[in-house]
Amino acid sequence: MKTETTVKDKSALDVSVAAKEGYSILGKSVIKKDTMEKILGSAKFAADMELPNMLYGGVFRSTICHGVIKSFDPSAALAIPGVVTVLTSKDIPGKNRIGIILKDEPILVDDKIRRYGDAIAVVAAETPDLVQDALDAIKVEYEEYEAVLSMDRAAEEGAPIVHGTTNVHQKKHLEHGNVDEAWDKCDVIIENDYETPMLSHMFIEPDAGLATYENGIMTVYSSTQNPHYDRGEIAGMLGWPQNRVSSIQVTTGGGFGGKLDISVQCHAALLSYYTRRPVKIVRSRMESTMVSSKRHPMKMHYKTGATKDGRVLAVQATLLGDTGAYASYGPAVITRATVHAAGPYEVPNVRVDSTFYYTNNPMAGAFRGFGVPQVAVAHEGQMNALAKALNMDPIDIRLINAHRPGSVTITGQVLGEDVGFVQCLEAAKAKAQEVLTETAPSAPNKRRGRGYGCMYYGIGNTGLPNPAGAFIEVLPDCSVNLMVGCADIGQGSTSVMAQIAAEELGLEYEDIRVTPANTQVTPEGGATSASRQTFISGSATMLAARMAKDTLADVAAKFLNVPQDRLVFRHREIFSADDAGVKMTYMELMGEMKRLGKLALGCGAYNPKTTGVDPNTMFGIPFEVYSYAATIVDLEVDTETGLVDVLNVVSAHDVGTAVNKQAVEGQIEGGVVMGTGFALMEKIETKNGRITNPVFSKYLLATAMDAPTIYPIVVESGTGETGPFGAKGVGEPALIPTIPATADAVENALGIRFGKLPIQHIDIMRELYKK
Amino acid sequence: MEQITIHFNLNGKDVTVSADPNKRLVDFLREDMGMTSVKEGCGEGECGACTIIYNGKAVTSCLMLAVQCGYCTPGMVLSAKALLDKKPDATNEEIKRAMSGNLCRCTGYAKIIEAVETARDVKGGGKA
Repeated sequence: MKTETTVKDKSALDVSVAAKEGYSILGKSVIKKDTMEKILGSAKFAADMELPNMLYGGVFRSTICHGVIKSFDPSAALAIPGVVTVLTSKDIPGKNRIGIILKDEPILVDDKIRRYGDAIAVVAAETPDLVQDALDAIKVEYEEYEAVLSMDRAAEEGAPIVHGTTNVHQKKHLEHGNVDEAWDKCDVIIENDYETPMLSHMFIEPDAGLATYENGIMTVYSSTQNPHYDRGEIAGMLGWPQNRVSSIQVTTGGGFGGKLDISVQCHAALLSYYTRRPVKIVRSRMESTMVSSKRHPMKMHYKTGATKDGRVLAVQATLLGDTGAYASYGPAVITRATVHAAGPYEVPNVRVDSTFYYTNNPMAGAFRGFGVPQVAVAHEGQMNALAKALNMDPIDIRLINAHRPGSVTITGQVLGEDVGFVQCLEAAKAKAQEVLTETAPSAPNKRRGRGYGCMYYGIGNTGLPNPAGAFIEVLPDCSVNLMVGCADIGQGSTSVMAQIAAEELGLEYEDIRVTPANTQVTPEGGATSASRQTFISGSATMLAARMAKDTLADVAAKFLNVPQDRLVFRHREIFSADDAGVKMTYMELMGEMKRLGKLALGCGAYNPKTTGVDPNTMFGIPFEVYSYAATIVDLEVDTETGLVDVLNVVSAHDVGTAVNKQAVEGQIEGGVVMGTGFALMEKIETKNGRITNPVFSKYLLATAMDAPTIYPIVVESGTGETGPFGAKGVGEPALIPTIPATADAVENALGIRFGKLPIQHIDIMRELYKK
Repeated sequence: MEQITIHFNLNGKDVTVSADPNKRLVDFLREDMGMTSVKEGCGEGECGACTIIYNGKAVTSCLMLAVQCGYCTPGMVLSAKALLDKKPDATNEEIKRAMSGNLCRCTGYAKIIEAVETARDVKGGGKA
């Protein structure tokens, strides 16, 4: 079975005349719009905001991970002068269930406690110290239940149930070709187990927000990746129509998926609703890490078969994941992991069985890659093992199996023209030959190794509608207001939208003022997740600009006596494609618009062209486009200490079209360092469902001293037929291939297979002692 | 709470204020002095977002391409300044070491290190 991926409505996203003649703004490394404020420290993050008469809020949280509340007594807290209110689930006027996909998480616990740190009550007081005093004074008694602390226990007959009637959160099955018949045709079969840890996003800005209730409107300013979703949850909690809630994203200090779920928004809004005063909640690092979502820990079993000339014929995978106490993005992670399970290769026979469990562990949700980093550890581990078994070059074996234009994916999708994986592999190999000339270790006690990792990544939500919109107005002086829903959490989408609008309108980057992620004025933007904003909000922005331009072009065509489709809008001028001398300035055009009583307005909406996936086989078109990457890691292991020094990383990424090349490189560099941390350093530890290392002194991040020399390579496969000018996405792809490549390099340096991440120095020393 | 009177120089201005002696410096600067560019990221001295130094102004223009989310940026700027004030000809290794007390989760440090190198070179060339 094959499904077609052809774009049915090409006209909607056709390339403009200006684009065909080369871009004027796109591809330029413009300075991002919020840069100066951030450097000077004047950019206001949520914790920096203050309003007159403001209260401070805090959350009273459970110290058990499974059980019920027997008694709750806030009287001592309420007796403290300056403590204004203590609220519990009984005070919620509307719905007390939230969740991006399944509404299974209480805003404040009502039926039972499912994790350490569940929110039981919220407190408002005149100062942060009084909030803490109130939290310390609240008395609670629990009846504790046996907790489900592992996937093995969750799966057992007779285990305690976390939600409903079963601990099975989701199951997925993918069937492509005939795996059972394929094994006989394979000359080599590799079978391995892989395991990846629970991880914390560790955005440097802890979650924070401020709610204020005035004139019947609840306004919530917060550090978020998902302001439009937040609006719906706040309105649901209050039992209000959504248009009475304004959800405004303020400057956000990173997210990586950890600011997609509700953090402080509902709690602050509830306190403001009752106190009629602005309420600010700022989480400490410890609270933030304890209760924000985590990366799903996964256990994977892979069986991969190939012919002796390196052609992969079959992959069979079993994926197990722990979503913890609440679903969060679990259903998205299991689906995406399943459809990406075989990697960026054309594999004719694939079977994947995936099961995610509910437990009383911390809630796992979205984290940069939605399960693809986890499966990449396995499918790349298998590819590297195959190369070794067949004595083939790791790049060559990938080239044999690589997705190319027209390849068929494991969901039966026929890929379009914009597949740049082969170029990534070739570019990475060439760069490695150029810069990784040294192969000898720097000292006798050191071993040097090189590793390889690749990935592909579907842009946007998996097989689900996920539209975004944009509004635009070109003003009489040629400046532009662009209102677009997408939240810029530091990746630079606000500037990308400005570049796209400027390119389409033929104006300059400086002419575009962007108002992002403010539900009072911006249309639905969806989440800043799934590497989707450049592709989806970018397309919406381009379409909005095009609508405004249609009106402008109609007027310009008549004025210049040039057919509309022969007009070029570029650098604040409009001229004939056939005679550049026939032209007018934008100011002249806006004057003509004024004389005729016309307004240059536009709105745009874009939803990726996908299908749902078949629930039995996962067949379908889950994504309109895919990004690709190939990464090579060069490192040294100290055999006396087990410490790993990552020296060089070459990382080639097919992003379709780079809207801002420097920003793309910045994403790749950040992803590479996060990837080395994933492979070598980071791991959330829990005891009885409680995170025991929620702070930077115990959860180590890579520092400047750990950062390797990085060689980012930008590959552009964009044809302009999909996305804004052919752009795809890079936010999550930036992270993924470095993880398996780093693990491979350590294993190659030492000649020891680990399979389980992270490979910390203590793991290396343990294995070296065994030898 | 008993207050104490302190005198100091903040960003070039002499200041005399009464302050709560139990307050952390980060809270004093943010709450009492309104200096919200001093960021709290961890509360335990690990992440460096709250980095401060006492006098002078920071080198900024070289950081234009290094900024992503921006939360670590003010702390980075001051660590860089502290280093280059003390050691205007700092080597790349010394720069990495000096910046290693400030965590960044977005950039991979590459463009931040480049920015400090640029600042060093520009200052060294007498153009600052």
